[in-house]
Amino acid sequence: MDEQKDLEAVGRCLRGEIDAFEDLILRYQKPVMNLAYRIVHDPEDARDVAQSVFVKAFAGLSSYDSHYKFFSWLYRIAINESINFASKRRRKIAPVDVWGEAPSDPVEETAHAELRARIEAALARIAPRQRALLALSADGLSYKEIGRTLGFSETKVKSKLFAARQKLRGLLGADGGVRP
Amino acid sequence: MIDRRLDRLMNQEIDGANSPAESAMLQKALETSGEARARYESLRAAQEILRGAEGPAPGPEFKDGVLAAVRRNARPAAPDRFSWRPAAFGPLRLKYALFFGLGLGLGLLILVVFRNRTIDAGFDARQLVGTVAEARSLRPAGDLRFDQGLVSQDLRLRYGDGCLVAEVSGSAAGDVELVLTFDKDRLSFDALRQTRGEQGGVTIEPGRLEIRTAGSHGYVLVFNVKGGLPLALNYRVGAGGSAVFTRDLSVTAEDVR
Repeated sequence: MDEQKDLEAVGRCLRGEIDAFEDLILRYQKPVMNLAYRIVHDPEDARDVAQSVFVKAFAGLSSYDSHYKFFSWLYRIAINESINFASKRRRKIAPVDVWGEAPSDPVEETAHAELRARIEAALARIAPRQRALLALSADGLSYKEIGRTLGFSETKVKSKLFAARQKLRGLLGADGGVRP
Repeated sequence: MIDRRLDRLMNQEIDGANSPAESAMLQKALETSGEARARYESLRAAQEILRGAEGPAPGPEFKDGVLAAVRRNARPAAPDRFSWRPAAFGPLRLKYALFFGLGLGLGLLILVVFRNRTIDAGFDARQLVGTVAEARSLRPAGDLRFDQGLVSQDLRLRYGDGCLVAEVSGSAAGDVELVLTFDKDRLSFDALRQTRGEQGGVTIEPGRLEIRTAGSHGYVLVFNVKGGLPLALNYRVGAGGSAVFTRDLSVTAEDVR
C-alpha cells in the first residue's frame, strides 16, 4: 500500500510537484532520523543528516528505479550520508543520554547503567561503517537485506558484522563488559 | 575459553540467523560457561541499546525545513537533460556549453580541411562511401591498363543497382586530362572522390566529365544509370591538348561478371 503511495508521490515530484514530496518526508522521517542517530550519535547532527538525506533524495529522484522499494533506496542514501558525515566529523562522538529502558531494581539499574555507558562509549569509538552495520542489524534486517543495502554479499555482511562485534568486545574488555 | 564456533553461534543468534539446532547448541554452552554468558550478554546488550536508540522527534519544522531546502537548493527532479533555458546557464552548464562550442568549432575546422583535400566543382558532394555501400550488388564490368612511360593509367569499372562506378588511378610526368564522355540521357554524374594526388580541376557537363591532374592520382567516380545495359562510354587521356590514349569503354551485358 505504502509502496503504491510512494510511487505516486515520486511520479508527482518528477512532474514538478514539490509538495508531493511532503508525503514521503512524513512517511520516512522517523526511520531515517533514527538510522542517522544510531550512526552519528548526536541528535542535532542526526537531524542535519536526515534533512540532507531528503534533499539529496529529491534531487536524485530521476535516478530512482521504481522496481525497487522507495524506502530501500532512501535507506541507502541515509546510510551513505550518515557514514560520510560521521567519517568527516573530527570531534569525538559523545555517548547519548537516554537509550533503552532501565530495570526497576536499583542495584540492577546501577549495573545496567554502567554497562550501557561502557557500550555507548565503545560504540562511539568504532568506525562509522561498522556502526552502520550494527545499526542495520539492530533494525532487524537480515544478512541479505543488509548486503543489498550496502552492496556486500551475505557472507561478507556476516564476516563484517562479526568483525564489528569483535572490535566492540575488544573495546569493552575481555569480559565484554558483563561480569560472569 | 570461547572458541570461534561458539562466537559465530552467538553472533548468528543475535542476528536471528541460527537454526533451532544451533540455538539449542548455544543455549547449552551458555548454561555451562559463565564467560560465554557474559560475552553473549554484552553482545545482546549492545544490540538492544542500538535498537532502542531513537533519534530526535522530527516535529513539523523538520518537514518544513526539508521542503524549504528542496525548493531553495534543488530543481525539480525531472530527467536530467541538457536544456538551453536561461536557468541552465549555471557554472556547470556553462562548462558543457563551452565543450559543445569547442566541439562544434573543431568539427567545422575538420570539415574545412577535409573539403580542401577534395575537388569541389559544384557537383553533388554526397559521401561516395555511402553511395557505394548502398549499391551492394556491384559487379566487375571491365578494366583497362596502359603504360606509356610518361603516363600510366589503371581503370576499373563496376556496375549494379542502377549505378556505374569507375575507379581511376595512375601517374603522369606532367599535366594530363582524363576525359570521360557518355550518353547524357543514360548516364548522369553522381559523385566523385579523390583518393590520391594533388588537388586538380574538374569540369562537369551533361555527357562529359574532365579531370585535370598531374603526378600520382586516384579518383572514384559514380554515375547514375537510367535503363539497363549496354552503356556507351568513352575514355580519353590527353596531355597538352593532344590525345595520348583513347579507348571505348562501353559496357555490355557480357562485360558484367
